[in-house]
Amino acid sequence: MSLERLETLRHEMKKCVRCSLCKLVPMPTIQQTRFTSACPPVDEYHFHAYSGGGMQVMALALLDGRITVDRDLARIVSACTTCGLCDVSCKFIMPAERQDVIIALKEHIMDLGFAPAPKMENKSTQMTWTDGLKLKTLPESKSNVLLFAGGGANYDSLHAASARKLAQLLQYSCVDFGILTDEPESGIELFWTGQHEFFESQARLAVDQLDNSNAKIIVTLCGEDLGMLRSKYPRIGHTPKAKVVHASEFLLQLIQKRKLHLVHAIPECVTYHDPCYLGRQSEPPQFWQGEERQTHGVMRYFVPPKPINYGVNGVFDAPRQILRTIPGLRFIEMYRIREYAYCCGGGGGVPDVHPNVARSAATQRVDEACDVGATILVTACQHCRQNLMRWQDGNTLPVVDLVDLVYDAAGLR
Amino acid sequence: MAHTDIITCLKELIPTGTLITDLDKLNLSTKYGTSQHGHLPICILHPGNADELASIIQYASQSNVCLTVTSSTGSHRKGGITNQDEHILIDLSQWKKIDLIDRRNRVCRIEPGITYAELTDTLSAHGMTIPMPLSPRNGKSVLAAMMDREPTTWANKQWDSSDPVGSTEFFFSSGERFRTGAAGGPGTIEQQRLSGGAQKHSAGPSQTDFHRVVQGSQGTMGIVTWITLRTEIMPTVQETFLVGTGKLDDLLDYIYTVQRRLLGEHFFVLNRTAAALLISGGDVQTFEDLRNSLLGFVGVQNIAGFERLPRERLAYHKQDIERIAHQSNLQLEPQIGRLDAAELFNKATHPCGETDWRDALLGGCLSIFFQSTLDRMPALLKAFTETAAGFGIVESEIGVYIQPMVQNHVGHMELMIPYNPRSLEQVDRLRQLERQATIHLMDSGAFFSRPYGSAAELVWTQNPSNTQLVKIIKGIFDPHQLLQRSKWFVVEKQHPVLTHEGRDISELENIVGRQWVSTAPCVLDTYAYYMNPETMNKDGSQWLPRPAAVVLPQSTTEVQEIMRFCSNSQYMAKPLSTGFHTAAAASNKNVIILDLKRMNRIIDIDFKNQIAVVEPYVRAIDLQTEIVKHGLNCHIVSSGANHSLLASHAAAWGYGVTGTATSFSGRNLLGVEWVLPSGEVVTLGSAGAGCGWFSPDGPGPSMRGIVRGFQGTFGGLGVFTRCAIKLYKWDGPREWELAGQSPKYVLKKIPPRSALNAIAFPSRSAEKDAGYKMGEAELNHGEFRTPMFFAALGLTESNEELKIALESGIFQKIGQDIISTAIFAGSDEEFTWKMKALKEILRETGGVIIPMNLPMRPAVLKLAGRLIKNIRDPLALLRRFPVLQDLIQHLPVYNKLKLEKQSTLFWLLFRNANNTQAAFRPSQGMATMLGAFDTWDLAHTQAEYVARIKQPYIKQGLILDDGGDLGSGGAFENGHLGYLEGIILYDPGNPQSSMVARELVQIGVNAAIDHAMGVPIAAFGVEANRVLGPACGNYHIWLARIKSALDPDMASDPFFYAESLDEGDRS
Repeated sequence: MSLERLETLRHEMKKCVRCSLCKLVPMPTIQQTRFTSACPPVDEYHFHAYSGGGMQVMALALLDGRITVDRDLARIVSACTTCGLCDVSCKFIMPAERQDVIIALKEHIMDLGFAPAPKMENKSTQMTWTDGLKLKTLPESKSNVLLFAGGGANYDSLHAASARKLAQLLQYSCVDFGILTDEPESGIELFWTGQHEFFESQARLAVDQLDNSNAKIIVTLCGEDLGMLRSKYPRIGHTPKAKVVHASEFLLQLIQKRKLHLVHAIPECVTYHDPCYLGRQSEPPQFWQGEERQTHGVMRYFVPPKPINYGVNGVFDAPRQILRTIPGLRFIEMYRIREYAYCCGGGGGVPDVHPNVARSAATQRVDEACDVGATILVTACQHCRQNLMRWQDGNTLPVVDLVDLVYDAAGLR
Repeated sequence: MAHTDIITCLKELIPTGTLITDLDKLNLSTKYGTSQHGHLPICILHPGNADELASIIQYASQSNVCLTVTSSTGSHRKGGITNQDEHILIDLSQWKKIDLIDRRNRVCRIEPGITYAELTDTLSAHGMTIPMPLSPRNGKSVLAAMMDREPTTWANKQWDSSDPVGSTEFFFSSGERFRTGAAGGPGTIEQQRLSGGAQKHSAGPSQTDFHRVVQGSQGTMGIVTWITLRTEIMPTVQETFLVGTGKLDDLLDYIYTVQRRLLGEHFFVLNRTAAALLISGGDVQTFEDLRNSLLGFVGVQNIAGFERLPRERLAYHKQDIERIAHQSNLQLEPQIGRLDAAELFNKATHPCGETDWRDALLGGCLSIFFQSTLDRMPALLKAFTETAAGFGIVESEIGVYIQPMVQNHVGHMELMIPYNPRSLEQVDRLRQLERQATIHLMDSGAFFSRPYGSAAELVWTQNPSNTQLVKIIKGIFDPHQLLQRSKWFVVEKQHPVLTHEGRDISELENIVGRQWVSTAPCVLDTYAYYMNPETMNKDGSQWLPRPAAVVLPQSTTEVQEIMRFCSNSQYMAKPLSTGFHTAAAASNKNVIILDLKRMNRIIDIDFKNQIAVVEPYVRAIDLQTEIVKHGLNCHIVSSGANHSLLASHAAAWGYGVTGTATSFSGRNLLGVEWVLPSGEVVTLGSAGAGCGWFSPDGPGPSMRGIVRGFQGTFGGLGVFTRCAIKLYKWDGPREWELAGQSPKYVLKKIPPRSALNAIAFPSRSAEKDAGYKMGEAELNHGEFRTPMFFAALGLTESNEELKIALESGIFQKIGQDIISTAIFAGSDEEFTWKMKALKEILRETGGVIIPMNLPMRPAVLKLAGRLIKNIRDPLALLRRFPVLQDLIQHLPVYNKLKLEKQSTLFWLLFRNANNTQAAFRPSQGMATMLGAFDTWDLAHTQAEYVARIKQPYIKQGLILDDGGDLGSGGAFENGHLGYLEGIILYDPGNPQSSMVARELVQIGVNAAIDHAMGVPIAAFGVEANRVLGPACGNYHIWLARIKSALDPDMASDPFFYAESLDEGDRS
């Protein structure tokens, strides 16, 4: 099945002209020579195979029977964080679906049993982040708003802390909301390692539970959960009935409606890291049915026109607007931002299998934040936060979740 | 053989020439410099024509008689005609033809005997002139001076060290006649001219710059029979000023700032002694009075206006230069002391008489000259004066002449001491001083690119690997050492030892480390897939040969080891940087790919001298991002700024959309570190001599000519691990704010003093004229012909929109002859002048600036297409009333659209962010036909041809119907050169379409031969050279000889360069 899926993407692979733009952020955006790269595995390993373009060629070689799936191929493909920046960079010049090919390749390798086994998360320590908060549980109670804390809140202390803070912010803003008693995992680890069958099952299960909550709005704490619910679930036909928003979007609304006041000054210089799955990877899919035709000899076009996901409709503005609202805070952008933000290195299962890639990406990102003069690096994804903090020697630059900062600015500390 | 026998034979070979055996005349012919060396010639020959010369050379070759050549008359200061062995002197000073004078293309052709006075007199009747050395003597041969890389006073016009030399014709010592540059073929000169060529560009033919090897060789590599010269327009108005200062240091900032902006025309520096020498004409009192009236140094600043708005041009140049002078506490003066600027300039730019001005005062003058960068010259001067003091020479006796060269990327410094040649004591003392000073200067970083005097002996140990390379090349160009035998060194015959052991790839792990070698099939296949596979694959398939391994070295040392491994094994090496094109592919399964991605450092940026030194994986965008903050830009080629600078400058092609301001990559190369196939390293030019990365040429002949020609060697002759490139001024914004999102990034505002336009011309003829006029006016920083299809492509976001745009018919009516241009200016006055000049040109040619604030949305295009269906020229009104163009542009409507389109031009013409890649959207395949480099007229001839020849294939639906004419490119070096490559858009996923692309490229090669349209851009490598070589002086055999000599073990993949010769063909 996965090979057939790859075959349907053959024409996408063949669009690759080996220009290596997949290794660079779109060139109009480049500001600093040190920070031009788009691809963490290429930065670490350098071989072309690790790049978005390299992945296209390897997939094509597989389809053409020139290579078979083996440990080398599996190891190379597993170095991809699935951040999708190569997809954005390539689409700057032509509409080619790089990310689709990479995911399909991962799925195929996983199907054949060659994917390196991801390290199991240490989930032995169960935390109850809700202790003392007196939160409603859905669907037992009724509420229009569901707070989706994310699986990590149960075993990661910082994630748990951010979840508590978000809950307290909502309470403080008099939002009527609830949580799920037994919140499902989003399945992102399944998605980005190519375990598509398990991912599909998990997505179905999660959407069932979310729909059963009867909530009208789902607020996700973690950026990657937003990406799953808004983009990757619908892609495979599982779309939650509720409207899915990220915590930053919801909190911004509260601020704009004057239900949440940020009164406490934070005299720091901060920059913001756009999580991949909150940003470019969170665009809702655009399904298309039509036909491909040729005109003027060999020019291909689609009827009706095929919509392209350029990665620009993710959640970029809300976090920034919030940061600009916090008194005393000076907000400064990094060089690679929004749809062309550099990956932290924490995705794709990469920290388990290629810790060197995760490390070098995170280090590069922290360097970039320091280079623009930031004293705090803010993000909105727990995977990003963990990876950006993990590799620092001696806590060079504090990395905080946006919710934590809002919490402090609201004076709730 | 007895002399009498030789003379008898020679007499028979020159029926229309003369032969001289008179002893007095023989004696005169050897007089030079501070001493005489070597033998008198057996005789002096004046061959009547080139055929007689050929006969002489062939005779000499058969009889092993040495040859020397002269073209100048009078006393030879630098003494290039003496020889250690017995020799015949060939005197070409009576070859006096000037022809092919071409005002439109600013070029002429001359024979060796032409002097400066003869040439300038002839050219002035055509409104032209040429850059000239500082007041040459009457008998000085222009050809000899130019072939000696003698500096001229007009550095702004010198884009490359070999300028103003264009094409040449020379004889090898075998008697083979060979033409270089555009003249190299295909076709005769007349045939080339019929196609629009003018034998102007100097590169090639093909992958070697033969002229660079002959230039600077002082007659040791070939005998030159004619050259074409780049000419310049005569000034309509001009003024000259002096900038005086006590210390040389105080002038430097002024020079750097003025020269960076290419303000003014001629410029040079003299100290008071040199100025007095030049003006006094030998009169001692005048000399003393003048010298005493001056401060230490004087810069001579000439400012001019030419045919277009001359007074206004002069005015703004003068204003800007005055401003700069003021910033350095200097002033432009018409006179300083007894020195009148106009008089000095007149003297400097005209021949000085029979006797060289340096010798006029006392009869002789020691002259030591070398190259360096301007900022190092005060220290070099100090080194010299200290040495001179040790010989009792005081500072006031020393003349100093400093000449910026190559647009001030390098400087020529000449130190002079007049003396009485009849005083044996003085002669002896100065001879000793000359030697000691030369050593001291060399140790202090002076680069003796043109070795004379003691330098002629000493330079060869400074850079032993370069010297060895020169010897090898000499062994190819002149295997029997007939030309100036024993000059500089004796060349031993090479005896290559071929050893190919069966070695294991895993040994590479010991060189670079295990993790940097891969033999995994999945990895190897990512190096078997490139753009334009039809370049190698005849069957239309996409996959290229899978290499044996991919290895990623990090240092030059590692590269050397890998090359040694390949030298000594069954494997060959193929380096790549970004690897965009099939030219980066392995040609067979025994090739090891060297992916140079880990060698990605910017080694140095010399902002002052505008030089950057980079490793192979420094991309253009990387460097440009750094240097633009300092008001500099680099030449970026049309594949887009993600290309490797080193690959483009040293190993591949070189066309880019800013060529009018930033030239061509091959002409911007200032130095190379080169790992030869043997694994030895040679660093060329001044860098190899330890002097810095400012000059790639010399000492003597330039081995840069072997590194590349019109095209590079594409990894077929070792690996380049570092190179220096020329940087250019950048008058545009040093930073800018971005808005928008992918794929439409937009500038928040258009930078001040800039104009980004797409200009539509009513016809090809008008477009051609405009290209020349814009070039002469030196208007543009970026310039790119954007034919109809590309204009439509650039203005639409999808193929669906593009289809509608094409079907509307609008672009066909207004857009076939469009040039997109970018003007940036360094001052408000400059911008005002440029815009005025542009408008004038547009009025003259009927050009229309297409309003950018018109909504080119599909629905609007459909409607507009219906409306203009019956209108022949929709732009007629705008053409007739140019003021309407301004009015529409400034209407406060659709400003956002206007900003978008101007931003697109900014990304295209400056940032090169959407160049070649943009061509892939329609059909994912792009190939190119023709695209030879010479004149703008030839470029259009090629484009027209391609448009015609594509039609049958378009009709069959095998390639994209783009109208046919997708001739893309532009003018170079302010219109001096031009090119258009005929783009073919095809479907690489369709084997038939791929094969058609290949077939068309081949048709282009054949057409280039049949219609004398130059060497096509895509014609390189073994297969193409076999076809083109015979039509271009058999250059392919010379390439093969070079390959054999430098890569006897076949360590480098030859496919895209040259095969080695069989043993029998090695001679």
